[in-house]
Amino acid sequence: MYSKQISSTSPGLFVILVDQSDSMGDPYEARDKESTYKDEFAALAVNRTISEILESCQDGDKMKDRCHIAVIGYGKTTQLLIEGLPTEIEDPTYGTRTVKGKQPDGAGGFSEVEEEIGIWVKPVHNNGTPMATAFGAAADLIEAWTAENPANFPPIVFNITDGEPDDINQGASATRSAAQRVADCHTTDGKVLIYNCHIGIGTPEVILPSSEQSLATPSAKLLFQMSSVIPQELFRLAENAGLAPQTGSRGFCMNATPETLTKLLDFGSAKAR
Amino acid sequence: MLAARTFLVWKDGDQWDDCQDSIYPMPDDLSGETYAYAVADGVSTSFFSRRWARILTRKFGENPERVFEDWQVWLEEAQAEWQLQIEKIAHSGKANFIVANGFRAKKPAAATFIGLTLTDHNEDGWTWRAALVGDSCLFKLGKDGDVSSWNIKSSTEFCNVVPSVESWPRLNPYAPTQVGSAPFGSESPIRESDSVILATDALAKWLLKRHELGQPVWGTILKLERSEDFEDLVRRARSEEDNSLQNDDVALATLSFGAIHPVFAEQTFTPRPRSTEPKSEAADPVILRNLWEQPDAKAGLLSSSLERTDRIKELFSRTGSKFVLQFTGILLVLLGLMLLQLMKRSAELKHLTRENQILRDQATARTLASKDRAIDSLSISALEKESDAFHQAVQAVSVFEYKSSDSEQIPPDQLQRRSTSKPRR
Repeated sequence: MYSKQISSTSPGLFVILVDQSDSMGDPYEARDKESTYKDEFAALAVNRTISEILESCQDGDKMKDRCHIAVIGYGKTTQLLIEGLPTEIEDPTYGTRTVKGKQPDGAGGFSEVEEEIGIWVKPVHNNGTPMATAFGAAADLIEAWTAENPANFPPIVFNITDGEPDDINQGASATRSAAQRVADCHTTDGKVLIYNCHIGIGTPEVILPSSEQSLATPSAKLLFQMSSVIPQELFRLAENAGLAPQTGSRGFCMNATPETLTKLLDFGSAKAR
Repeated sequence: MLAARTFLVWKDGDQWDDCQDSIYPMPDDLSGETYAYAVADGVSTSFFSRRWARILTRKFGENPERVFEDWQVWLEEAQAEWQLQIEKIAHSGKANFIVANGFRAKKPAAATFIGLTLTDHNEDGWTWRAALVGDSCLFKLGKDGDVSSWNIKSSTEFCNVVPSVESWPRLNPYAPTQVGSAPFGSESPIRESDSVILATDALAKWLLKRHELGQPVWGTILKLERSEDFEDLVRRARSEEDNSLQNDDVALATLSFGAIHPVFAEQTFTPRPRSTEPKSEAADPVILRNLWEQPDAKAGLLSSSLERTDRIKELFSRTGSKFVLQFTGILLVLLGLMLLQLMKRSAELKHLTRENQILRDQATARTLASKDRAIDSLSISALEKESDAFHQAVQAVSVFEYKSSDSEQIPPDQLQRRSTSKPRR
């Protein structure tokens, strides 16, 4: 299980759900000071992840369609912000932006370099958190995709949020049910992998927990329950991204700092690289 | 006598220009006077690795001795050539931001490499030397039946992190392992009936694994003559039930020095294909796109459209069957009606034949009677009246005969042919 290579003959699917609710306009401390608000950093992280996935699909001067990529934003509306194969989205919707990145210096360290990243997602924050609708939309997409790609590496879903779904006070049954629809999808290589990242100020930060004990709020427990247990087969990828999974660890981070969000996205998208 | 062959097959599902492996000489360029052979496997996740692999093998073939004289100088020349090519691409205006990023950040291409050269031939055999970086393998099959391999000795040694030659200078670069016969190394020279094989990682691993399991296929590999034969072997090896060849690019060079040793010649490949797996096909991006063209109407559209497609297929299938059944039924009914008509006509024929005979008998009898009476009474008028009756009877028979021939416009044999011909589908 979870052994299929993602390739142009056996493409993968990455679905990123981005919270665009009002609270995403809150300040968020970024390590490189490039963004100081949650929606800005979330958009930067998503754009960087798409750029890196595309980079892994770049073969010489040719882009290869090794995966499908979809980004769904949820806030005032729930909408598909981007969807397509690498060859269809390699020209970023809003051009490129120069950011500072780190590059191995060949001597075991890193040097800071300027690099361009594509901009497909812009920072937005408005209204509530219709997480159930977003997972429902993802389920539609994934059900169709797994039906057409029954033997490929299973789809990977990221959910980046800073808050609680709209129906949390009603037991979040709609959110739970929509997430379950996503989780029930599978290929012959494994079930869909759902990674939830709750971004916050990092106190207390919980990374890849294996139980709910350390989680205080109903929304944290909900996100934990909605997250996949990380398969042993993917531990090495998690470790390469700087994470430390244990047996039973779920793909979930609570109060994640920008560094942790970046690590989780690196880990989740590593299969494409 | 040296007999050499080189082969290159790319990953199933890819095209020729996707192939990251490179070989020298290229299969079409091989001549009997070639004494330098090289394979390189571009690391697929690195930057423009295909170009890098091709530069490495071509440069080695052009002047193999330079690799052994000063590896570093030779490598810097290869790197300069690659960098110039990529700079042109990055500044061409056609490159996307990823290529521009990669060049600005000096992202390297990486490749494994083997270069082998035959330097001299004397009474001891061929003097040889080779430079190796990474998990592409060099095999030497001795006439005593032994198999030697460099740098990998066991199929379990293959892993995802391998030493490679990079296209930008780096601190502590991998230096090639050098092996060879005296005066370059401690290995024995290549003697009559020895064979040498160069293979990139996927094939090298498969060959080693088969050897370890006691199912070696050296004979099959060494007897390969045509590219088609190698492609067929690769296809079958990838379809093996157990220990199948990984779907990867494959470069192979085989060098036989005289007749293949009988021990190896007998080690041939017997395919044991696995049962067919369900084929994985890429999703149609157009279908996925359509789902999202109207954000408000996105939910469920795709799945329902797929269901509709299935229903249409099913309905079409059912409708097609129905049409064939209906057509066959109508044809049978028509044939039945035609047979009934024929039987009816046949009965009428028999009946009229009988009547005809009666009329003939009666007419004859009446004529004879009339003649007798004419003779007897010499009544001419009576004779003419009876004669008219005869003519009427004859005419009746003629009319019947005409009708009978008319009824056979569709001859019975033709009806038979029609009834036995198959209905069209």
